[in-house]
Amino acid sequence: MATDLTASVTGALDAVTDPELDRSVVELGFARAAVDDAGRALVELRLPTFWCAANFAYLMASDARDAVAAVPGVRSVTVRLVDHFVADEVTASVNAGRSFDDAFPEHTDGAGLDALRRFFWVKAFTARQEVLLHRLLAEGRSDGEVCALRVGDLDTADPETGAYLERRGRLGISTAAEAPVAVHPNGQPIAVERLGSYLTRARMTRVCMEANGSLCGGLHATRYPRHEETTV
Amino acid sequence: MYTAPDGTTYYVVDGHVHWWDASNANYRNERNADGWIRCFYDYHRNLSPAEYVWPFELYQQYPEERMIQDLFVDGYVDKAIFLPTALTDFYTNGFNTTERDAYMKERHPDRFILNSCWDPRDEEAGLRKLEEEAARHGLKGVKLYTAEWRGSSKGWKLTDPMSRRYLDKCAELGIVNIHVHKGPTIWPLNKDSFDVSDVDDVATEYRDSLRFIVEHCGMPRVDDFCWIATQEPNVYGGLAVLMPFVHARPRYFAEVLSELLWWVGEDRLTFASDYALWSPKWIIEKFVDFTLPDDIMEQKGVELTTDVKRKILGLNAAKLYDLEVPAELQVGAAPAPAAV
Repeated sequence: MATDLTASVTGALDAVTDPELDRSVVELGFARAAVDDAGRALVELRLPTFWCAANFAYLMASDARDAVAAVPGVRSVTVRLVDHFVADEVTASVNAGRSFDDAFPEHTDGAGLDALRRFFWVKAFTARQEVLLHRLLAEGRSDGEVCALRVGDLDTADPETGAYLERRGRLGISTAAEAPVAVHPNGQPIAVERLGSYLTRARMTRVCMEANGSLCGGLHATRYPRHEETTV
Repeated sequence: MYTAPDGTTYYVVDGHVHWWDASNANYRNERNADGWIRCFYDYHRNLSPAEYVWPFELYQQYPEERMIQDLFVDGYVDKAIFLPTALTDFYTNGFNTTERDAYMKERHPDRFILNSCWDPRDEEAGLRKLEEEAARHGLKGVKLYTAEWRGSSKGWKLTDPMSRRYLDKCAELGIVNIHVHKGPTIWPLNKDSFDVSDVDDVATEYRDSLRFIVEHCGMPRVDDFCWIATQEPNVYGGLAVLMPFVHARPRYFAEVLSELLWWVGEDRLTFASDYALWSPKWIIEKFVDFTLPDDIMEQKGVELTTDVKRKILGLNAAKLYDLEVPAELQVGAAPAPAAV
């Protein structure tokens, strides 16, 4: 096994998130990879339940494929979804580079997964912005001061802030220095008098995502109690 | 009834119980039937205290005596609501059918509330069956599982035209409690299968005639559920699956419950064990003993008082199902003198 390359591949996989939980599939234990001496990478996906939604499974599998294929030195990628109700369909279509709609032609409406992906990008952005804005308030700023902040005022070296800006960028919201920090998913600034109610709702989104992550992580650990000790 | 160590008494309605048969002999589609019950078993193992974890074989099929013991002898439950899950594509005789539950109800008539289920894909024949069942059992509620597979179909929506026919029929027959469970395979597969927005639409349409109890509070879309429930007075949250967090994930339990109390309110949340996913005894004991951390109470401005616990554990469901609750178990009742 090519140890250095496996480490690079795992690093690339670490940037792949569960779309619903906005957490790394490596950190969650959902994905692991190995690369042989010929540069052939194998990624195995093991999800918390047999019934995890097919569309999320497909998104993670195809994102994993794309992330690993971009690692220099990797010559081919095979993704394998296991122990899942549509394991064979997802595995076959992702490795053949086919779309989700092609994998399930009778059960999709031809619209693809972009809307689904964006829906969860909004949740991920909202949850991270809630944490950031609460932190900025807790540091002693007033609502007005927080709403007046610009991206250039943030400590962009902070990894959490970096992750927030990345989620912002995905939605097409400006990350330029002069752009306001507190914004709605459509990029419009949050009015100062609306900040409180915005945060109340955003907090609910963040709490639910964290609780879901806790449940999924627990179910995964129950299903695969020693996943770190086995190899692909 | 549960009597807490401090003497406070609670009327208990378990809002979501099953008597299932997932034995190997009942497997029809072996892969999916096995995948289904093993998924349940992982939920059970993951969130139960170790001493309450069952062997897998018992979990697949448990006898009548065990259920009665766990709910009503050990488990403090006054009334339990059956919510059937047919799953006839996976299990030869179904998983937890109305017929199976009716057997139990007949033998323990004062203990169970029997609900049925319907599926709009049964079309006209299903409507007739619902009428017959309503006449036979005096139904006040149904369980809808929108993600259930049926041949090549992977689920349906409450807003489907045929579904509306069934909702009309429920309103006509006085089947006022519509329990909805969202699951992960609803059609089309490229959309979010847990999407609860169809509940919003029908809740508005049937505001004066039906109540929609969203099981598991729409988990994993609790946030979307809260947003709907806060606007629709006839939408309720069933706490099955969230309740066992009280033991396994107490911080998340506090966080999510306080969100629910803020958005949905103490009058529209109902306790459930989801038996045999979990047993009510330990959940009730731990819930009554539970207090919200100070920082959460302060941040979210909600309280989990004795009366709020009384409502959640039984009084809210008692109102939905017109159950008589003794005066000493109502909101505001003082604790009985402590036992010597």
